[in-house]
Amino acid sequence: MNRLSCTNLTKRYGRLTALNGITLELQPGKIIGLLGPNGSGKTTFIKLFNGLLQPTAGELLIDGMPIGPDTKAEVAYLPDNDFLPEYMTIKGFLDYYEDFFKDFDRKRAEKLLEPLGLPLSQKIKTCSKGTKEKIRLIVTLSRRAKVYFLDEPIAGVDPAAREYILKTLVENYAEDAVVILSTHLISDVEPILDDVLFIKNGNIVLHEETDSIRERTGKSVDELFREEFRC
Amino acid sequence: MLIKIFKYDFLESGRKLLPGILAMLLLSLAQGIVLAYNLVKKNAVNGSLQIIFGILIVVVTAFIIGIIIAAMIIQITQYNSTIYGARGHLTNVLPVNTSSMLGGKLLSASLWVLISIMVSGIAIAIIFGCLFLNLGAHDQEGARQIFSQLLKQAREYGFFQLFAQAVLGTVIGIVELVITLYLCVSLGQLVSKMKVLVGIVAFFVISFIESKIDSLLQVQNSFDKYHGLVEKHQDVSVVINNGWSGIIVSLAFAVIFFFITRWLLSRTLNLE
Repeated sequence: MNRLSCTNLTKRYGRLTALNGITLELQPGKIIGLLGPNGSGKTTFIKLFNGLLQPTAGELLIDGMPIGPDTKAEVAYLPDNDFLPEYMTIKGFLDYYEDFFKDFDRKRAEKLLEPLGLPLSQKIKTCSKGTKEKIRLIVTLSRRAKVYFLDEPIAGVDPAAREYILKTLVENYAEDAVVILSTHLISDVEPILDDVLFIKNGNIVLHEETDSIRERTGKSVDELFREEFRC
Repeated sequence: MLIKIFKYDFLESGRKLLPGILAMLLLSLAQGIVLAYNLVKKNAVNGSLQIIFGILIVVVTAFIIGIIIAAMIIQITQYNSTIYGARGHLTNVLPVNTSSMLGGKLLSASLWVLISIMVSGIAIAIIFGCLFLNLGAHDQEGARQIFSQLLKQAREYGFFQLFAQAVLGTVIGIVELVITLYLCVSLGQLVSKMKVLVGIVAFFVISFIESKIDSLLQVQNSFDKYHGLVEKHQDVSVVINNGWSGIIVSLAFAVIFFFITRWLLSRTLNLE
């Protein structure tokens, strides 16, 4: 069974077409790179599957279910903006996740937070930008979700933090889950990707396994991406 | 899930409102002490103290009015930021159905507005209570007699029933007002620009339509009209019956607005 599928998925913002009739099926057990330049439709695609945007046309399904509370219980989403409730302490935020998500593994979250050396009583608003990003990633990956959507998780962070984020991702996502990772920083994520989706002007122009791409073209995903999206 | 949404919303509002509520109670107590011990007259020669007492009166009055307005504003901004702001990326991906989400927020917001009204009432009661202590024994006895006479008449005319009805009407009125504001915020989000302006215009349009429907149904909702009815019929039961129809209309509006807002949240949410 497909973990995630969409048929003729279209999203328009006024006259601008952000997604143009995408039809796609994604299987579990893979880390998939959703790759494309800025404004190609990556975030729109992710937000539609999280119910944060309404499609203009088309159908979206997760585990055969239309988007709603049941699918939200299965999806862990890391948006590209700061959604943290600033007034909460880190402990309070873990309580929040534990209260709402049955699949939240609190022990794992606390274990992942340990190396950061942060007291759980610390207020989120007093954390640095980098620390906040790590907290967001940790709570997202501490869910035993069936689908993970990570929207630009490594954009705007230093190389050491990038390494930390990708290492945390690889070591913590549920094996039977599908991870969709959007980015335009291909070289950093290429080693961990099983499949790639190239998205260009709201269309999926390539959906292929990374090994297959390398064999077929003799190029890395990064090289192919630069070729495909050359200005 | 409704209870969980309620819990987190209630706590978040509380963090913002409680300091103001506590400050208001303390200031009204200070105001009461000034009145109870007649400090203004005793310190008539001390000009600076008189100025402080004057400022205290202004501040307490501002707090009493302001806390209710603040409660309303906090509820509107909290709804807007947690649903349509950056926090919406967290709130709207919770595995909670739209009714529970809206219901939990509505319950929390209505309760805080009610609490702010009640606490303002308590602050006024503290001031009047202290004023009563300042009265001489003779005046206190007179005030007691007036109060007991009022109670006796209220009992005779069935005003307690009217009071209970007014309490219920206030609660439903608060719920209706909060859901109207939620609806206006959601309507404002339907446009890409000038969201606040559209929300404000929506509020005035809805209020106008509501008042027209009220008039059509002849719902009496002003003191003058109540007074006129009592004068005319020499009986408060006609007011009570009329009050019930007002409460039912108010409840009907609240239910309709709830379902429209729920529909807007589930079908038109676009966190671009």
